[in-house]
Amino acid sequence: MRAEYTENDALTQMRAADPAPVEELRRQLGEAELQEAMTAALAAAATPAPRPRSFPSRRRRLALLGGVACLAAITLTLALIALPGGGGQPQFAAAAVEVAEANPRLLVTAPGWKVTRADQFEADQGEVVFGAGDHYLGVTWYPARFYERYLEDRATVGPQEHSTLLGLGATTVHYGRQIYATILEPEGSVFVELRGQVGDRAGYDEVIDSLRRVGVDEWLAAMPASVVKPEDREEAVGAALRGVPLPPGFEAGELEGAGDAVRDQYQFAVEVSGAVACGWVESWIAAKRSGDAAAMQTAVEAMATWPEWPLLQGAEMRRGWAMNVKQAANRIAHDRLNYGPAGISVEADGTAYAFGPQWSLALGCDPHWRMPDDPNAPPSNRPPSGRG
Amino acid sequence: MVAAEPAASPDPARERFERCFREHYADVLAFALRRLADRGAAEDVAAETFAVAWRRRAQLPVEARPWLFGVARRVLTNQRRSTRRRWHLEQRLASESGAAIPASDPGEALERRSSFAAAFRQLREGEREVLSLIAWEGLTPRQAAAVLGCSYAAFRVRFHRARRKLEKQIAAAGHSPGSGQAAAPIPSEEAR
Repeated sequence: MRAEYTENDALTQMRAADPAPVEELRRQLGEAELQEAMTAALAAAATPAPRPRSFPSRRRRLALLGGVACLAAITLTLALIALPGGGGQPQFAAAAVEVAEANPRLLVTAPGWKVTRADQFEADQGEVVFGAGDHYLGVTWYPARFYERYLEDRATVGPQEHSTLLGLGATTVHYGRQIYATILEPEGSVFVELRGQVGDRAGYDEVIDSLRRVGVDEWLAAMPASVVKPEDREEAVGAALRGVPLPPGFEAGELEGAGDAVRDQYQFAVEVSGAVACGWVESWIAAKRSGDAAAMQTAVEAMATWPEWPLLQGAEMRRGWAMNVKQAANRIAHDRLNYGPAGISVEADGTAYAFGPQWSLALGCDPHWRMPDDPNAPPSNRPPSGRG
Repeated sequence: MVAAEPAASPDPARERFERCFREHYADVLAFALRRLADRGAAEDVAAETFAVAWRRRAQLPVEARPWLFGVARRVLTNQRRSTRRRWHLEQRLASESGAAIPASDPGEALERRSSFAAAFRQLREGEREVLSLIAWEGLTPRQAAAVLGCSYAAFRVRFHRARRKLEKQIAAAGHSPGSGQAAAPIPSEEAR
């Protein structure tokens, strides 16, 4: 049968002429773009049954969502908390140690592998992603009480293989496209799921076999090097704000000490530049309310300098978070700040909520509002302009 | 997830949806981009497709990609049906202004001046679709048959006819098959 489907020049030419090569698209789609697209899909899912006019209607909703791409960066919980110790090595704070003690502290020891992402975890739930080139392995831990539930769910994926890994019973399934997942039996208060794309099954097995349990300090120390550690924080904030016009009442000191947090560079940039942008937009709103045209103009001009801000440099930043700052700058310049909902959250039971305002959530400012989403609600049912 | 509040407890179905989304969003977007000249419209189709996937998250098939393509085809069909009247208006306006009209079938996003594109466009839309599912979406014949809702046998017939016709059109356009290219099988069922 395969002989019938022999490749020929026509199909070869067709492949070469592919107007949308999927691998190129994958490279273009960063985390921010994926998050934005997922938000759009959930917003579409929260919209009542398709209507003839659904496309224009949803397009408007998508426009509202435009600035939410990097909201994930804001809502992601802080990764690690560390305090500078008396010596050269940081002494990890109690909260960080608690997380480290509660989770299995697994590290991939295969050559060339390192932690590529570790920006969200708590004591009983979190994920660390290891990478080597195009290959990755995610180590996710969940509360032990959900073990059976996950095992049952993964059973629907396909045949399960049972083995032993790290002294624990292991169940492996094949998701296709060379993606495998392995669930380990609970240990203590959590269980671990491994999931990765490592070329083929042999590669996957080799990498998961290289997993090693390590101590608290070693595990914490293995987190990505691209983090801003507490001892570097004051200097980093100072450098980040160099040349940046600061809004009235802005206290850099509050940022320098915030939470003694260890964050990766991107999260750090979001936090600091977001604080500046929030301050300027809030200043613009206050000036607009009081009819102070000069103060409005000052805020507009300050925000217009965003392309020069040290933290908003680099291709990834320009494609991601910086777009939110740019959008806010443009909107106050044209008096078109968006006070409407920023997006729709959909609960597991399908209940939808709208939350906003758009400008505030897009920049990670506080506070926010959240209310049941009713697409048919009149505009008066929305929170008033300026709230938040 | 951006739009959602943190879940109170892990939800396997939700997690499967998110993983499905991460693994296949680019595939679905590419599928739509090949059939729509407009990136925004293609993103709308992808969003609608995954909205369906979200609603069916508890029953997502293990082999999600062909299923998603099938959903995306229906979304495209609905979109074209609902916007037909507007499309005619746009066509009339475009013909008056000389502006390009967004197209909506396989291959319309091809580089318009390429000779291959000229040959490809000589095929009927259904023929382009059959070839696209194999050459661009990378489906096996059996998966492509499922997407189109036809039998495997019927797909084979349609595929061979479309391929022969494309070869003729390429030859007519002065692009007869070269001799130096190694023949290789298209993806087999086992490879997926």
